[in-house]
Amino acid sequence: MGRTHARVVIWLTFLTLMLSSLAFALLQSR
Amino acid sequence: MKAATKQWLWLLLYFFVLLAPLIVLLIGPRPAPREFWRELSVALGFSGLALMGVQFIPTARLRPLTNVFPMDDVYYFHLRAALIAFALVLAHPLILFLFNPTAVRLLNPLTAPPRITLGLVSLLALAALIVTSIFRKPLKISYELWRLVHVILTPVTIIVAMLHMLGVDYYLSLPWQRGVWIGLTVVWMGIIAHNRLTKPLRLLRRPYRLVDSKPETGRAWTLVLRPDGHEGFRFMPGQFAWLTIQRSPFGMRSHPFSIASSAASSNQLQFTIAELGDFTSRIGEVPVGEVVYVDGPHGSFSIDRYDGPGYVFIAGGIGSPPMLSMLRTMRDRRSHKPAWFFYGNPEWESVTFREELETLKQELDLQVIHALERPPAQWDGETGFIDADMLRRHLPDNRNELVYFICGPQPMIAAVLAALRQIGVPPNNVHTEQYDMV
Repeated sequence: MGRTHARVVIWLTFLTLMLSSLAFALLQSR
Repeated sequence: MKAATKQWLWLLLYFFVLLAPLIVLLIGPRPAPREFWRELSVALGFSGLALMGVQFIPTARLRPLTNVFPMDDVYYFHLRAALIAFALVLAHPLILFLFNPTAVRLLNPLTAPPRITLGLVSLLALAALIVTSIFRKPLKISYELWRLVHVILTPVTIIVAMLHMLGVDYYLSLPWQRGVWIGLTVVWMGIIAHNRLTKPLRLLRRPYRLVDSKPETGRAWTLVLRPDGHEGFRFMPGQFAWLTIQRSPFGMRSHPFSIASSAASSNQLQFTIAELGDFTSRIGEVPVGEVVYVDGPHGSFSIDRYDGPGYVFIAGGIGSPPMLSMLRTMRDRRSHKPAWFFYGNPEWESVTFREELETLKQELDLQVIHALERPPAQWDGETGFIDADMLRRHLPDNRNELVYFICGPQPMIAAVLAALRQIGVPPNNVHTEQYDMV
């Protein structure tokens, strides 16, 4: 783990939450 | 278990804890569907809160975590993750206002329902946390005040956001869904309680005494601590601890310092601390016999964590104590591995440990390369900052197989990382520790 890995985890966090929020909204909206 | 395996397990746990609260909302009977934008706004709010909650784990100084991940990377991650959480939580009301502009009137706490005002308070508290963290130095906020703000506003942000969610009561109508989110909040608050109560209590029962305090060259002091009524702890060379000096362990004034002593010698601990900030400028005045509380050991910046055929230590100024710990340990273990120590300082008079390094050169297969910004007359050593050419001049052909440890201020670390990339050292062989990480 180094700074590069930390950056990867940050980006993965952002993408995971954005995608899961989108999926949540698609599943739940009419 | 190997460190890399532990890192993967921690990351799996992290993504599970991050996503579980969202998934919980989609299990079982769901409320009536609404417009896409409204649902997206709500989902972003939930995501932001889940990410905020997870922040309690990296910052709790839990040893199983700090011994696996470099602490400065953990703080680097924490600040940016908090920024993402803030962006997600901010997007929640902004999207609502964008698609329903009349909802802006809900920003008035005098007329808005309390559940909405609670959401606003949580958002403002999070904004205050972020502003005081990013702009602590420009705003001239002391370390202690900043920590106090953090300790107070963090639970406020989370609890008030939770009350907002429970007040809106749209997705948390089933008792077990409420149970999961409330349970998570209890765990998050439990981590704070552990940090603020149970950990200080344990430190109180395991005090250390300052048995010696001696000045070093380079306006630094070496403090020697001995465990008082207990056995102390074992540590890996290069690790650090949080020290609380002349204060209660329940207070805000603990500071991280690298252990400078050998991990192979007695249970005494040595810390060499430069006179830099408010706290450290009076470090030499601490009387011998004083009680010191030591929260440690923490960190993974160690030759015991990252083994190799030889080691290259690169320190700027007071980034040298963890290197000394590793070199002293190598001496006590009679290590025959080759080592190089690149040591950058403004001038010869500011080189801490310079005499001891000469002795260590006799005892180890060690080359010490001093790099001075303002060298004295007749100086035939290196000058200026540590760069790629300087590294090439002193390192052997197998330099790509060696393990590198860099410690110093952030700009110096960044410059050395660039130089190592330039000479082709694989990033996996390079480990860093920023001494002003908080």
